[in-house]
Amino acid sequence: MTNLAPLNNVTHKDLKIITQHSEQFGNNIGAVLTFPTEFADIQREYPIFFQRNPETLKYQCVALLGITPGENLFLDNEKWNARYIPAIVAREPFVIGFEDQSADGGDEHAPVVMVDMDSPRVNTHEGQAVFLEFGGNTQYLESINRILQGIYQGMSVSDEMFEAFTQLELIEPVSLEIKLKNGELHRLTGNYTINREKLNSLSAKELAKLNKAGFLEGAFLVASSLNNMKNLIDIKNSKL
Amino acid sequence: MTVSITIKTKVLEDCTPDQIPDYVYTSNEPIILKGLVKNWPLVKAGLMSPIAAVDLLKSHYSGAPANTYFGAPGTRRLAYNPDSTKLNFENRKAQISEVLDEILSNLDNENPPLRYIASNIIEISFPSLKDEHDLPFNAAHFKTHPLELADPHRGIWIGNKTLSPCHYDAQSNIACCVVGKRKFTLFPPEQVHNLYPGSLELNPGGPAITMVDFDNPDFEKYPRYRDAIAAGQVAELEAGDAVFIPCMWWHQVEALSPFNVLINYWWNTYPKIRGQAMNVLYLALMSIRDRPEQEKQAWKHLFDYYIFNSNTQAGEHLPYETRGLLGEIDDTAARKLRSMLLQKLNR
Repeated sequence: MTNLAPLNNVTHKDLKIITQHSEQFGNNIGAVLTFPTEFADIQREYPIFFQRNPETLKYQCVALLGITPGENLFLDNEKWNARYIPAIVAREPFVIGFEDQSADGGDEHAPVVMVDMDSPRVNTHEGQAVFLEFGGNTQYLESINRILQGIYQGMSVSDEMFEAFTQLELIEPVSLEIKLKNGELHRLTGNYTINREKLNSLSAKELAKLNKAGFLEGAFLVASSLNNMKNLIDIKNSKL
Repeated sequence: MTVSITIKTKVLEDCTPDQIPDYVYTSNEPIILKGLVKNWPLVKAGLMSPIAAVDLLKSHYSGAPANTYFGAPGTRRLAYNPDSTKLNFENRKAQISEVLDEILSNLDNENPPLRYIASNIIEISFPSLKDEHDLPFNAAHFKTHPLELADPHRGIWIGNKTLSPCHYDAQSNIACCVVGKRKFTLFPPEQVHNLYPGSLELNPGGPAITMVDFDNPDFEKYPRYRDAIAAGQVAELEAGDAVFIPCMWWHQVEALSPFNVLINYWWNTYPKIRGQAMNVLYLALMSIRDRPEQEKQAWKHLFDYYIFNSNTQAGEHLPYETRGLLGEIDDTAARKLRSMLLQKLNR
């Protein structure tokens, strides 16, 4: 369960956050949501796929962390072995909430930082301090702010990006069959990716339009992130 | 014996929107601009009937919901509950057209529920109204004191009988009485001491309001208010009149008719990059107010020397190129200061 509270430097002045990653904190999962704003970082480590949200049926982006749903191949005891940790994980236990501040002359949907007080990461004696001695923001909180902003921006351009990809028929389903060195066969379904051929055969005008909308780089990053499947299988095989 | 304000605000006759004399914009005291906007269609409609004014307003309405004050019948003064722990009205989003209908349906009600849409941004609620209801702000004054590339803030205020308790705004203001009658009670900035301002945190519109009920002043509790009365002045506006209120002047605003509309213009010519003066006051409350008296007085001397005496004194004995912050503060210097302050405050 979550118990969200708007973060402030009075109620939460002594708040500390355990930032290690482990099974105990729910990090042993095979895939996480990712956002166009972090594709460049994600594709250096993880394969990016599109999946349909089971409720809204809209496309969303995921970074694959394992071959099976309950397995994060990057997790090793208390350590996440990668140069970049996906934003949706790194932001824990903070989320973006929205507040109507229009009565005070502010934004009607002003984004505010919320903290999940029921998260096992939250405590007052161990981990990263959220606020400085007199109530200023720690570097850690500034980094959380940046991560949440990236997620917020990524979420707001996501629909538009899939609309552009769909119009150009760039999205194709991909069926992954993985044979491990011990002979185990895994079949991953429900994933979509960028059709590399279609991408390469876009006209100059289409390329320019996609680029202007800010989605061209993302399309290439998603396509090239597929190379990380080999890395994923290598880690899996090394753990057998 | 009731004491009341006897001074009337100066009146300037025969003003038109594009011929407001330059001296008005820099005046040290309020000036009524008689009939300034008497030719605005909404003024003419309002003089025919409230319904005509409402129809005209509705024809310009964008449909955007607006923050609206809801008060129980009998409420007129927008202030606090008896123990000052809460405001005596609610602030909720509403459709302006529905609020207008509600006010119309209560025109003959002697005790209507209070409805007030305060300081609503015209460009959002009534985008096309601006075409025929605007002041040009093209006076020579604004060539030498540019509005920092920002248009003046245009607000529309709609309601039935309301009283906004005395407060100051940190902007210069031209308030145009468009529909109904309005009464402004005005005091110069130095009267703050005699006006007993309330909470900085909890107040109706942002600035602190006086705790004195001018209609029924409690002189035992607020004896210095007598001195304010002697220094105050009253501006009574009819539909089509406007009043210039200098930046920082205290003003109480009463909407007197069953249906009232005001359009106002707030502006500052101080560069936005140099920040809000109110931030200095907040910081001083935290970092200066409770220091030992000797220290505090020393800071007063420093503020007088660096800030209040003159804007050149502290630097003029230094070679020009070594004056730094004691010389001219341009955009770059303001940026650097902001960054330094952010760093120093983030502790």
